[in-house]
Amino acid sequence: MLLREGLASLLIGSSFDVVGRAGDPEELLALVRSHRPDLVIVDIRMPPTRTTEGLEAAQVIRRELPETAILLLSAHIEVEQATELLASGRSTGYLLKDRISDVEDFLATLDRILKGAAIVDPALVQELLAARRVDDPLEDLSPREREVLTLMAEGRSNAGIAHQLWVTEGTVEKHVRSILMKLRIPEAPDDHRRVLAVLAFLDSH
Amino acid sequence: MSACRGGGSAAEAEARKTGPADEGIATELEALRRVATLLAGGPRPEEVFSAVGAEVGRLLMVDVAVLVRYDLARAVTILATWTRTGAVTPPRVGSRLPLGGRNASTLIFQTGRPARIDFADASGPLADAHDGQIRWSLGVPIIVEGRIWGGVIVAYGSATSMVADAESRLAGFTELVATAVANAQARLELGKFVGEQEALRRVAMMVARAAAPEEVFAAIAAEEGRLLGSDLTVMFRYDPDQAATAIGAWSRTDRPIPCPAGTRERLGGQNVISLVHATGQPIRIDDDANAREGPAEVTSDCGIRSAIGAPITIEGRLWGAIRMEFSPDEPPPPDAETRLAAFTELIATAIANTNARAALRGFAEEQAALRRVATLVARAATPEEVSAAVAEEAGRLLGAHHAWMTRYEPDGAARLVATWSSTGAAVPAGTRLSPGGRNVYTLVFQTGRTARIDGSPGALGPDCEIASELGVRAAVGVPVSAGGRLWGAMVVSSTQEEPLPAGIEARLTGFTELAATAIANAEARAALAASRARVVAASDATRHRIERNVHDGAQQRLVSLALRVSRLKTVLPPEATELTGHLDRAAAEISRVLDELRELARGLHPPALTSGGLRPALKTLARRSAVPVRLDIALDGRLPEQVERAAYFAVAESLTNVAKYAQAGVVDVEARTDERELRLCVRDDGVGGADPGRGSGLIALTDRIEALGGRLGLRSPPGGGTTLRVALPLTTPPEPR
Repeated sequence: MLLREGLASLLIGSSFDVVGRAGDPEELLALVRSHRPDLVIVDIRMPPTRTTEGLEAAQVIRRELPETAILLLSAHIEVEQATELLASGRSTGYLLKDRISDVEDFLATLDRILKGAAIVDPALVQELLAARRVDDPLEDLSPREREVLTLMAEGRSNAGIAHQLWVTEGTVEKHVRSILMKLRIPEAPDDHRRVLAVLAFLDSH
Repeated sequence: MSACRGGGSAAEAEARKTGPADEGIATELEALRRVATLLAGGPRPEEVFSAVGAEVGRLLMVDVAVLVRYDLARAVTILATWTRTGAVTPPRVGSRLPLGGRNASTLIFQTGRPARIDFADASGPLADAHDGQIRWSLGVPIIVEGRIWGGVIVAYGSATSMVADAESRLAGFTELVATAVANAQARLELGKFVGEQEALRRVAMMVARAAAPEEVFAAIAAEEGRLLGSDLTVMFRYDPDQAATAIGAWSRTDRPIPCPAGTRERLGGQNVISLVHATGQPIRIDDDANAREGPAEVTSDCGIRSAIGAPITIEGRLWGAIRMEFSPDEPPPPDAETRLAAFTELIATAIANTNARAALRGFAEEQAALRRVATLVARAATPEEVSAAVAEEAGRLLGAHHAWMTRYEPDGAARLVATWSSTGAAVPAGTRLSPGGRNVYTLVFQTGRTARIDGSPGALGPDCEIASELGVRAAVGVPVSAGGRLWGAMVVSSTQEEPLPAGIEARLTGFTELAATAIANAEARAALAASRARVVAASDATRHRIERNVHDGAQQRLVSLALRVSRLKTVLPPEATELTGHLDRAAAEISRVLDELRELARGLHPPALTSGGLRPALKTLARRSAVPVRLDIALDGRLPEQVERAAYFAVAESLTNVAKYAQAGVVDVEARTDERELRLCVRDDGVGGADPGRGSGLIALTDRIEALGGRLGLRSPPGGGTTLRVALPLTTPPEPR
């Protein structure tokens, strides 16, 4: 409630048009169906059990209104929840609630989601990459390739990665190809499926 | 010494007085010589008796000469008779007449000296036998080995024919008789001795090879019966309730034995078994009317006239008796009851050994049975398992037909927890016996003490239909108390009329105490498990609540705060750099607090477990482990919440310990389920040597797992890595009762 109002206030102040605020999944779905917003921001913990109701509501929205961008906020991060959401389609984000406080970054993330990106919280990617593995395939990667993989997993496009690393997009493409080959991850037709493939790889190794 | 001729007339009497002395002496010496010659041939005593009777009769010119034998029962047996004319009827050979009154036989027996009787003052059964035919009688004792053995009695029909020194002249013959008897007795004794020894040896050998008691008893009856020439010999054991049970029987003929082993006879009346029981002494009953008076004898069926009996005394206690019955044609020998008693005494020793051996074997079997049950108890078997074992072991050991472990319900009904039957007529466990009525389980319920009902068709009570259907006639119930209160009763019963053995209650108690221990243990365990489960559940609920509060309260507020701080910066003028720096540091601090809170919340209650179950939760654990983890998870859907949580904490605790102590290169974590349980295995390749008592983590984990009825095992040989195995039942543990 407190957070929702703070968030709404932030969005209004950042030239977003907040068309509705809901306290439970039913209310949320009713609002979404009537207002057809561009973006829905959902807390994964909603009444009645405050476990995964938000995720379920997001899935319903995805099925009914696939064009609606969805940002799922969570108090903690789980790879299963991330992949479940990302598997439903593009224009998707899965972030820790904490990310709201970094206002600029947060608003930029919203923009990317609205433009179709699939975004995964860096903390989750960090956890996946940091996991100790027996015969770790990631050991074959160069430090640069690791950086690129991290950004891929977070849902950055090649352009985004190039921008982030101050390199050309061509360089990024080279790295990406090398990474996919080394890890034997199949090429994905779009960024959001690439995120899924990378997450699936990291989760299963 | 006057010479005499035999004869009954006055003339002959005269001749006796006046006969030439030399001729008389010659005649007498000749007679003695003839008897002595006869003796040298080693005849049977009966031959000697009749020869002596005839010689004495002729020599002393008596009308009747009789050889009698005294026995212990103050009676005489007629061994031989001689009559001169046939005018006087002698008593029948073999007949037995009681002593008493005034007559030659009785006087000799009382004084040990010769006696002379005028029949005018004679009295007693022996005198009555010759009523009116005898005027005088004269008796001389036969002394064998210093004891009065018998006597020679001569009698005259008239007073005038009495010879003056007849006593001293008779004495010569009685000495010969005594010699003959002593010789014959020695031979007979030897024969008897040999026979008895052989019989004893056979019995002793049976005992030595640990033959079954019933076999030994049957052999004893046969040996004794043969030794004493009885027609029917039965060995009895006295029961506590004024009755005797036949335990061995032998018959000389092919006729069926009227009282085979197992027959019970009630005591009372004038019969051998009752009299031996009453007096503890050997007994002899010749009168068939007497013999048949009491209920215990069945002599009339077999035409048996005489019976003798001797006690069997074991360890100073009258244990039983042997009864022998004789046909009228072959009455028992005069000393039969004495010999029977003596031989029986020897036999008793053999029985005592048999008893001791049986008791020892029984004791050993009982100990073995108790040990088996105790082992079960020690292994913490369930009360149902222990009850089943107790019912079977006790039932089998005590020779019961049915053995039930029952548990009381508050109204006194008894629920069968476990049943055993030797007859195959098993009553299923779970059967409920209605409360009330006259039956042992109700008696035990009412008194809290052992109860016994014997010999009643409804021994388990008129209201216990099952017992009636089973034909139960005797039952004993022993209380089973657990935790200071009456829990149930052990009931053993028999379908036989005879009561269950005395002392069965005490022997049952050994078993019921073990059962009670098992029940008390199980109840204590169940209570402990329930208490642990409650503690764990309460702690889990608290942790879950705190985790929610952190996520939905503190975390939300902090994020809001961070958001406000962040937005505050946007409204500050660009030149307020110092303030902006403060706000940045505050935002960073809030961010760190949020991270810490998230970690804290995860430790309290892993969110992944709630949302995704054990698989994602274990994966998260594995990702965050400092030592690489190989996961092998084969789980079938979601598991009970408590099981998932316990499994999660088991793996979490193990991985923490591996990181801290094991110096391992890799950890293998396996989790798989079958239809009954979840099995976990966490195995590292580290240094091993882990102390199971180390750290509170493992102890808390043990509590958590055992509270769910699970098991936990730690193996950590030095240098051999550490393996933790956990098994958790997928069903909820039973509630304590």
